Amino acid sequence: MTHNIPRYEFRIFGVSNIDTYIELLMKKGAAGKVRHISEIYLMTAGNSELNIKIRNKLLDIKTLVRQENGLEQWNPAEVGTFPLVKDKIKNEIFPALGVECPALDREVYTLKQFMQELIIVDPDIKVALTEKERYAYDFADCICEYADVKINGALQRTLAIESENPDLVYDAIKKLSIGKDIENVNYPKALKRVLGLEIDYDINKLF
Amino acid sequence: MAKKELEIGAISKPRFEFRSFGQDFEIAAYLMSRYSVPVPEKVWERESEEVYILSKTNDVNNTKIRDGKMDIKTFVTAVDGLEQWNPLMKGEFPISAEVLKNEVYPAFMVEIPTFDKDEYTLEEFFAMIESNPDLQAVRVRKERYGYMVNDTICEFADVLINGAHVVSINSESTELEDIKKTMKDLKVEDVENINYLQAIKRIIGWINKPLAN
Repeated sequence: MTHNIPRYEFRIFGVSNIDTYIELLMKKGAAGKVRHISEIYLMTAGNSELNIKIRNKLLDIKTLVRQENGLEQWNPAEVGTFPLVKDKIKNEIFPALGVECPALDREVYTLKQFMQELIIVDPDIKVALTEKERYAYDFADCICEYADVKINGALQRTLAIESENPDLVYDAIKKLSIGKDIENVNYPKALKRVLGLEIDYDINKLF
Repeated sequence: MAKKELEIGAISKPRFEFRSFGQDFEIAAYLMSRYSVPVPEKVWERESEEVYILSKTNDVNNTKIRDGKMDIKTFVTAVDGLEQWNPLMKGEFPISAEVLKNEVYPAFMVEIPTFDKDEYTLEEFFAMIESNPDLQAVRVRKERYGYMVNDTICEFADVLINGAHVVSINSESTELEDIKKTMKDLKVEDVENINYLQAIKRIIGWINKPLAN
């Protein structure tokens, strides 16, 4: 989803605990497209401001532009479609991942070569294979969606509200009865929590 | 000679186990509920919150912490794809440095750290785990529904692994043939045997393999 003006985003993740909000969106919103999307996210412990993913061999990097009053603005940029030349991998992808680029023996890498020879073998990079069933909605003049997301085979649900106007996002949040204590969680953060790259210090609450 | 009936929750000789993880075991769960004999009320539904400690360097020791108690099981053998695990140690927090040094860290198969205290609280133990890049604590929440099919202890479970949902089914018994019959009855003969360690490692991205479905 490429657009010129970065939208303000609010997103939540959960399991059955967010069903109430999703049901409200389904009831009050105007249903749009349903899309099934497979994506590969490349995750590292140190990176939380770049969202690096591959869809249909296209690698794009979204950059967190701003966090403001609980909303986030992300700026998408396409890096390129595989096969990719080694300079792009060395100068754009690995710096974004924040880990050292290994020696690149090939001039050009297919997606398979990139994944097998450079990513999966790197202990500092984790891969999240995602399968998304995305349900688009127009609601309160915002672009909304809910989605069932399989993350390396394990399921979470997500609901997102986006608009270029932050006030419309706040209004939609209110109309969906999402409380102020509900955290805005972007995709990298949610994936890092499932993969264990971001430790949930509430772990002690279990005892 | 008549075989001794399994009793849920009782200590018996080491059991073999079939377990798998995925998103959809609806048919197997239905069949499990229909084939099951009545089971004690205490195993109808059980909820627990646990922390598994995963080690990158081994798949043979399974460490989990529940209600402040640590439990390590070790892999013994696999016969016809069914796995046997034995208890290796049980401990309670605060836990002594001696036990961590001689039993727990050797089970992780990572370098044994220096211990500057005589005993460690659970929070201190988690801090030690976090500081080791080869170890990871993973939160697991289980809702387990117990059954008994063909004299095997069975369960269907909704499991959250670091907050993400998977479904698990299992059949365990001291008798291999009883498990195989149960797998056939539940129509999961061709489903991969995936234990907890394997499932968690796949979900957190340590092993690049899919779950059963």
